[in-house]
Amino acid sequence: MVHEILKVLDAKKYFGGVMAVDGASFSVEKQTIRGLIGANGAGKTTLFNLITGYYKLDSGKIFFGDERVDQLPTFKKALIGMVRTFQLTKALSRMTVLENLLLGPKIQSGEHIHNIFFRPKMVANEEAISVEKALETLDFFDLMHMKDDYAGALSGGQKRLLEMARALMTDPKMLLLDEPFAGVNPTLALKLVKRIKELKERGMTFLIIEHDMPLITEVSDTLSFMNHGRIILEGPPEDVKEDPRVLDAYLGDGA
Amino acid sequence: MIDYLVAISIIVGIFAIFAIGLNLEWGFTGLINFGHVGFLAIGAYTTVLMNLSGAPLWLSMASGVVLAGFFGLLVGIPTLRLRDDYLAIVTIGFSEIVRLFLLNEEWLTRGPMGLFGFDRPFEAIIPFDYNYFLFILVFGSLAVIYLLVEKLVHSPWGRVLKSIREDEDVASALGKDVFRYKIQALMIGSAIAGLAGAFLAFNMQYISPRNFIPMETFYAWIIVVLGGSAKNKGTILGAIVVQSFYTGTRYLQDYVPLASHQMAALRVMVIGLLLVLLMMYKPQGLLGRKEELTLGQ
Repeated sequence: MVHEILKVLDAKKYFGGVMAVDGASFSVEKQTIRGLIGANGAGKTTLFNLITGYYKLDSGKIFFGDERVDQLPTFKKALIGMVRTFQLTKALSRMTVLENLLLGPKIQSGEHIHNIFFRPKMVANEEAISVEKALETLDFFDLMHMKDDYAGALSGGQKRLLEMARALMTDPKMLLLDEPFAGVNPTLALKLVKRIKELKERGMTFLIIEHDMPLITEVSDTLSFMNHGRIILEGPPEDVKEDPRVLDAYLGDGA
Repeated sequence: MIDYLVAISIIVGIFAIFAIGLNLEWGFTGLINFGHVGFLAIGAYTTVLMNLSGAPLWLSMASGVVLAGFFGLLVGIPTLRLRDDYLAIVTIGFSEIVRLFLLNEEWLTRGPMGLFGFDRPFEAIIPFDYNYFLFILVFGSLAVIYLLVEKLVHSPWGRVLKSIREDEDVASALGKDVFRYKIQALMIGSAIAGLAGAFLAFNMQYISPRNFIPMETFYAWIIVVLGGSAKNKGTILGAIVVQSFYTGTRYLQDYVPLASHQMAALRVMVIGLLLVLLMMYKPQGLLGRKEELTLGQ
């Protein structure tokens, strides 16, 4: 039986008089990869911001699993397993690459002041486990040699990898990736596609905004096409990318 | 001569403690607190007022520290959810409210007359010059505060603070309750300022609202920036440089052909010049890391 992990119902968001997201509805099944495409300004990133709680909905509902989450603050959504990356990469510049990753783990007793002084052993043990996991992750993303460098010193593509690596450190149920392949070299991009599919096999769900058609078609199980703040088309990638409305948005002069 | 060095060192130590509190807020968490002196004042006045009304000194000091931290909470709750600049505006307003309260509520604070005649720790039983003891007390406390804050900032907790300083959207995306951490940083920083306030009172043996003008906040900022933000050692070094210069030159009056108000202005000018030169030739601060400034955001 198919189970929906994310359900968005009639989401609306205005900025002044502009309707950025105009009644978008869709749902994502557990353990699938959903691609979200659409022209610039179609409302994809705004929709991400609504789902993850950076913006408040003007109307509509969002469910994660069985829980209604549209009133939850961002950090609580992350704690129940919904984690995102950003279109404009946000490396924590004046922290090392390793420190960036170590922020990921959700349960860290060392993030509570009393444990730092009264349970130093527990904190140290957890930290050792996190470091080990972080090093494995860095190795996969080809960032091992940069681990002690400031994150701000990474290239644009590396920062994207860093973001995905950092998000994975939280052990999310669902990852929302905003243009994860932009600026990443083709070899590594294909490796990422493979990794994303592996993670799906292990139970993770993905929602991915991406402009690179070959890559998004390759990675997605289903594609949703967004136009003027609505999801107007949904289906297997091969069908969606041939739809005249999609071709028009990407190749024609749009609407 | 040695007495003179001890006297200057005590002031250096007090300002180092005061500025370490600010460094936790600004250097590590990125909070712009322009009202740090308000918490210094709360610490000083609470300690003195409680002691004058009969409370034992240790309890008075502890109350000063706790109350300063509590006011950090009160100021933080409405402001820390907002953008950074709001905190700057609200805190500077807060510190002026505190000062004007102390100036005008004479029934409690004796207003501009100030307060004196309070106890100092172990004053009755110290057989040698009390300033020597105060020196030990202040530097002992500085060492403890330094070690505690270092332990905190190098923990996972401190790592979250730094992530908030860099980009709080990332911290929330990773499940960190940004507001909670900011409040904690502001409360701890304010409590440390409160402790510095108690020492300030012990050192001067007299406090009045004049001791808590906004300029004191900016001395702490100068110390933190000069030493290198997010470097506690740098903060201590900054306190040594700024306060030994500022306090030391006070005694040069006799040797310089300037009126005292001209001399006072000159001293501030030299500090300003020092900062300008530092920003030109060592913008990361004395102990800061240069790479940090060249990183793209």
